[in-house]
Amino acid sequence: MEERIRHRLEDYLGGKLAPGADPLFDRLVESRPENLALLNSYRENAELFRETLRAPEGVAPAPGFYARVLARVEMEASQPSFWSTFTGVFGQRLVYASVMLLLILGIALVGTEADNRLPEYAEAPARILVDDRPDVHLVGNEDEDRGRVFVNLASFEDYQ
Amino acid sequence: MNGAAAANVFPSVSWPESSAGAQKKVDHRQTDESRLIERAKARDEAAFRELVEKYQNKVFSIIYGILRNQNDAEDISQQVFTKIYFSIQNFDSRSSLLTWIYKITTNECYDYLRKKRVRKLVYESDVSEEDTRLMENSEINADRHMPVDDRLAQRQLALKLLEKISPEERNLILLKEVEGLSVQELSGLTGMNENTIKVKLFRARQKLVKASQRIMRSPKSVLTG
Repeated sequence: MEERIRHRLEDYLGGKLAPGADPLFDRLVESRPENLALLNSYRENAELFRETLRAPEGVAPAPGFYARVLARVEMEASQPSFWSTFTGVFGQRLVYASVMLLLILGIALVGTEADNRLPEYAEAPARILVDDRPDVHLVGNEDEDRGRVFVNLASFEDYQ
Repeated sequence: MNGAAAANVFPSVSWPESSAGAQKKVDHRQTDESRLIERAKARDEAAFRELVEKYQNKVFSIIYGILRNQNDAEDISQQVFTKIYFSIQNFDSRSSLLTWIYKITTNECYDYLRKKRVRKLVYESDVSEEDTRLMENSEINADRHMPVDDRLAQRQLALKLLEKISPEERNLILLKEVEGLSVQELSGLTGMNENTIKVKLFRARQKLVKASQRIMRSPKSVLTG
């Protein structure tokens, strides 16, 4: 849709754009049927809202409305919220106890993890073999030590 | 609609005056309204009472226009003012108080409609599959262009369309079409310039047209949706 029509759309829908008041607008609408179709759609929607959602004249709440609002405000103000649980003495103690428990559990978890960790040498098969078979000696060369591990595994006998 | 005409729509609500052709910005921090807000923020009960009495008819009529039910309008109006009481501290005066109240009011209405629809869905889940199938068949066979109550169908269409746009766009459309405010007046109330208002309204109207075309093409009618 052309900028000119967009610019005057609200005037058009509000009935403030008399025919002939803006020749360029009229020309753009007349020359392009799609512009006219769109304008009609906008107008239909605008009329729909005006006709269906406008309240009749004189509708008002029953007398004593302010008193009822105040009662509702007081009722809502007196209802304890979830967060207000933590502002009391009991709530504060509950929070402290939870923090302490988490701290203790955290320390215990870290300590247990440290104990359970395997020693570095345990991960090397050659080292395991040496620990298990005193007759096997490693030479410090990775390839040769690996060969010795394979030989021992292939000719495995229960040492004891 | 100029300021005087707007005052007829909202008898007890004052509007910022706008001159033809030129936009006159209203500083909402320098008015009687701002003093009322400051007093209400300080939990002055007389100020809150003044605020309720000033806006109660407006709030009630907005809600009644949308819901068309006296009891619901009363209940939600109370809820709106309760919200205002508890959240007026957060009102920053960038827009007018009325715009802020309008936003709370329409949001409450749409929250209510959403909850109502959820309740309806819960009830519908109790219906057996056989019942559902029979109901769907009867909807397909029924002439969807002949609703039982035209006005009710039109209202439902209007509400459904307004659900398809953002709360800000919804408020602008309602203020423009239902309350009859001009672009100038909207500019004065919201603190946005007229071009921004026009662009926002245009985008909202585009979305509404697309949504209405989709709804009309949808196999389920507005009444059943």
